[in-house]
Amino acid sequence: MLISAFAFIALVSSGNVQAHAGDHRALAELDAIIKKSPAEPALLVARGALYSRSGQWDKAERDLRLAETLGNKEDVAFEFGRLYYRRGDNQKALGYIDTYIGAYPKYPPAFLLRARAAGEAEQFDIANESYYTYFSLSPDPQPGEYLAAAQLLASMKPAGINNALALLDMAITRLGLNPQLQRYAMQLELRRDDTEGALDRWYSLEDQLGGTPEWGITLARVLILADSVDEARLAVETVKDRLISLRQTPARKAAGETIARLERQLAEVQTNH
Amino acid sequence: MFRNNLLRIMCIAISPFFFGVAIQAEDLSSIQQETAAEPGRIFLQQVSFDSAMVKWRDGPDTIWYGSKPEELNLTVTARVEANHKIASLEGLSPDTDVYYAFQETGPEAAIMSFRTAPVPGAVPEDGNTHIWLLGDSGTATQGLQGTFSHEGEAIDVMNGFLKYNKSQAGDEPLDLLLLLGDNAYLEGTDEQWQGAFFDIYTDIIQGTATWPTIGNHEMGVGAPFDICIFTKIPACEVGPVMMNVGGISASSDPDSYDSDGDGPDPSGLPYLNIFTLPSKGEMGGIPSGTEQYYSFNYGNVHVVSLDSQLTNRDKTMRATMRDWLVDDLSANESDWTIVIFHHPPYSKGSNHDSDREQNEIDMRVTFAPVFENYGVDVIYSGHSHSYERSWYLRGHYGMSDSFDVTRDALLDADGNPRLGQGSEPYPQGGAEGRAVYTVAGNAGKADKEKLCPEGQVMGCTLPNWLQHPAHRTFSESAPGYQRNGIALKGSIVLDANKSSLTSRFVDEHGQVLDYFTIKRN
Repeated sequence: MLISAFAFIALVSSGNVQAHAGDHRALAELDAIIKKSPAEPALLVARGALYSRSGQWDKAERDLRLAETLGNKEDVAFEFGRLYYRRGDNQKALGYIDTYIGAYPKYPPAFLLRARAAGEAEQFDIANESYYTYFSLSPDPQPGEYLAAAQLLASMKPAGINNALALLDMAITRLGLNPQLQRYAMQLELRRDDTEGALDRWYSLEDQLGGTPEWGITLARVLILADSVDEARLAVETVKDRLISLRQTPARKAAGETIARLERQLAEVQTNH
Repeated sequence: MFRNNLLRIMCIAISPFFFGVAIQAEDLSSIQQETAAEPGRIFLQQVSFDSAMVKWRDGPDTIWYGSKPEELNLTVTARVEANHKIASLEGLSPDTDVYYAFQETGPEAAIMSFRTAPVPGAVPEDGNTHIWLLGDSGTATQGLQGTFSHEGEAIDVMNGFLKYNKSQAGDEPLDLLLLLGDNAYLEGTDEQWQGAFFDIYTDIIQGTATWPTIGNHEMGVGAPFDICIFTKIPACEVGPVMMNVGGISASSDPDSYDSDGDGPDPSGLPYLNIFTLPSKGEMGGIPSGTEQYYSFNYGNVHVVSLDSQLTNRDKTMRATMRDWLVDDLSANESDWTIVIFHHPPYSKGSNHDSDREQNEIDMRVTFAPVFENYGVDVIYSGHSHSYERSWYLRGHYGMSDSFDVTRDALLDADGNPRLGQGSEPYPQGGAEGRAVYTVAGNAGKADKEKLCPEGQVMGCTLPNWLQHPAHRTFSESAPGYQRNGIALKGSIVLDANKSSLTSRFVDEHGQVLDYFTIKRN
C-alpha cells in the first residue's frame, strides 16, 4: 500500500498547535531549499505542515494552495484538512478529509482526523463511525488513542457515556485489561451514577494495582460515594498498613498525607451519623 | 507523484549512496538464500523465572531443550509471526540453566544455553544481576556513498566489554542486554537490524534476553532534508541535496514507518516485527497495552522501557504513557528500578541538545518528576554519541541555565556535589527521591570536536559541547574528555546485588572511565 506522500509528509506535524523546538531550524532549512526549487510541491507541503503546526495559518495556506496548483488536489487534501481542523473550521476540514479518504480509503490517520473534526462539529455519528474505522484499520492502536476517542465520545450527548464505555470495553478486549482504560471506565460509571459498576471495574484491577496506595485510596473514595462507610474505613486501614511495608518515596509520603485526610473525612462521616 | 519526481532528482544527485545500499541488500538476500536450511537470527526474548521465548528465522520449526546439554528431552514447535519463528518454553525452573538446540543431541548439534531469571524479588544465585547497556550501537550499517563510515566500531566496543568482563568481572555471564535505541542505522530496516545487531552480537543474544527501546533511527526516514548540513559530498557544491534521511521522522505513528521515502511500508515498523515485548504484564510490571513501552521484573530488579520517539510526540499518548508509568512504579516493590529510553533529558551532545530538542524536553518535563517521586534509581538514554552522567539529581526540570548544583544535586559535607564513588556511594533515593541520569549513545561511534562555523548548529560541536551542568565534571585533560562528558566510544555495565547498584562506563579498550554506586538504606 503506497499512501500519498503528502499524507506522510503531513505526519511530521502531528499533535496540537504549539511551538516545537527545532521548527525554526527546519523552517530555515526549507526556506533555503525552496528558494532553489520553488516549484517542488512536496517541499511546499512540508513547509506548509510546519507553518500549520506552529499556528502560522496564512503562510501554511499559501504554501498548500501553491502545492495544490502544482499537482493532485487529493494529495494535499489531508494537510488542508488538518490546517482547517486546527483553525476550528471543522466543516471545511471535513470536506478536505473526505476528499482525501475518497482517494486513499485505507489510511488510518485520515479516519482519526475525521473523527476528531466531526466530534468538534458535533456530528457525532460520523465521529463514532470514523473512530471505529480507524481502530479497525490500525494494526497496533495504543491505549492512549482509545482513551482519547472515549473521552470525545463521552462528551457527546445523549448516549455519549454508553458509547464511550462500549469502546473502552472493546479496547480492553483487544489490548488486555489496562489500568488507564479501566480507570477511565470507572470514572464514567461514576458519572452515570453507577457506583456498583464503578466498584466492579475498580476491583477488576486489584491483581494489577491492589498493592498500590492509590488503589486503596480510590477504593475508599468510591465506597464513600456508595455509602459503604465501614468498608471504606477498612480500605483505609488496609492501605495504611500496606504503606508502612513499602519503601519510602516522595509519592508514598504524599499518599500517607492523603490517607490522613481520608481518615479525618471518615471520622466526620461517623460524627454526622 | 511529486515525491517520486523529487526522489528521482535526489537519486541522480547522490547515486553512489543508493548504489551502496543496493549492493548491501543484494548481498544479504543471497546470504539468506544460501543458508535457508540453517536457523539464523537466533535470539532470546522474555526470559522469566519459569518461561522463555526463543526466536529465529529459517531452518527447523522445532527446538529441543532440557536442563542438561546431553539431555535435551523436551521439544516445542514454533509459531510464526512477522517472519520470525517463536518457540515458547514453559514450565522452566527459576535461576536454572536451560540448554537448547535445533536438533536432538548428537555430535552435530550446536547447543546453546541461557539461565532463567530468579523468582521475583530474589537475587540471582551468583548474588548479582549483570546487565550490559548499548546505546546507538547500530553504526555497522551506517553508510554513505557506498562505504560504511563506522565499520568495526561497534565490534570494538563489544570487544572492550568482553575484555573488561574477563579481566575485571570474572567473566560473569550477562543476565540482561538493554538497548538504548538507534541500534540499526540509518533507517532501522530489517536488513539493517541484521547487519548492525544480529550479525554482531550473535553469541551474546543466544544466551541473554534482549530488551530494546525505540530510537529515532528505528523509525525510518523523515521529510526531505539537506544532507549537506551533515556531510559535504560533491553534489553539495551544486546546491542542497534533499534526501529522506533516516532518523529524522517526526511522526508519532508506527504505521507511518517509511524505509525509503516512497510512503509507509506495508510491513510496518521492523522494530515491532522483530521484538516480542510484554505489553500485558507477562513478566511482572503493569500491562501497558502496547509493545512501544513496557516493563518487567528480573529478580530484584525492575526495568521500564519508555517510548521517547513515537508515543512521546503525541500529547494524549504521552499523558497515557505517563499515567501508566505512575501505576507501574506505584506497584513496583523491587530493590532496584532502571528506566531506559532513547532521548536524554539532560545532554549537550553534538546535534542533540536537551535545551533544544522537543523530545528531550518532553521527557524531562513530563517524566523526570515521576522518576524522582516514584523511586527510580537510574535512567539511561542514548542519542548523543558520547558519555555524560549526572550528579545525584532532584527537582531540575528546566533548561540547563537554570540548573543550580547546590540546590539540585546531592552535596557532600563540604558543599560539593557528590560523585557516588569510593567511600561515599549515593544513598538510595528514599523519601527524598533522587536519581542518576546517564547518556551513553556511544556504543557504535563517538562524536569528535569540530567547532561549528557561525550560524551552523548541526554536524558540528558548539562551544558548550558536553557542558551540561547537571552532569558530573571531569578534570582529565586527556583526549576525548570535556568538562561534563567523555567523547569516547564505550558502553555501560550495570551490576545490582541486594545492597548496592554500580554503573560503570567501559571504553573500547576495556577500561572503566567512570562509575558510581548507590547503596540501599
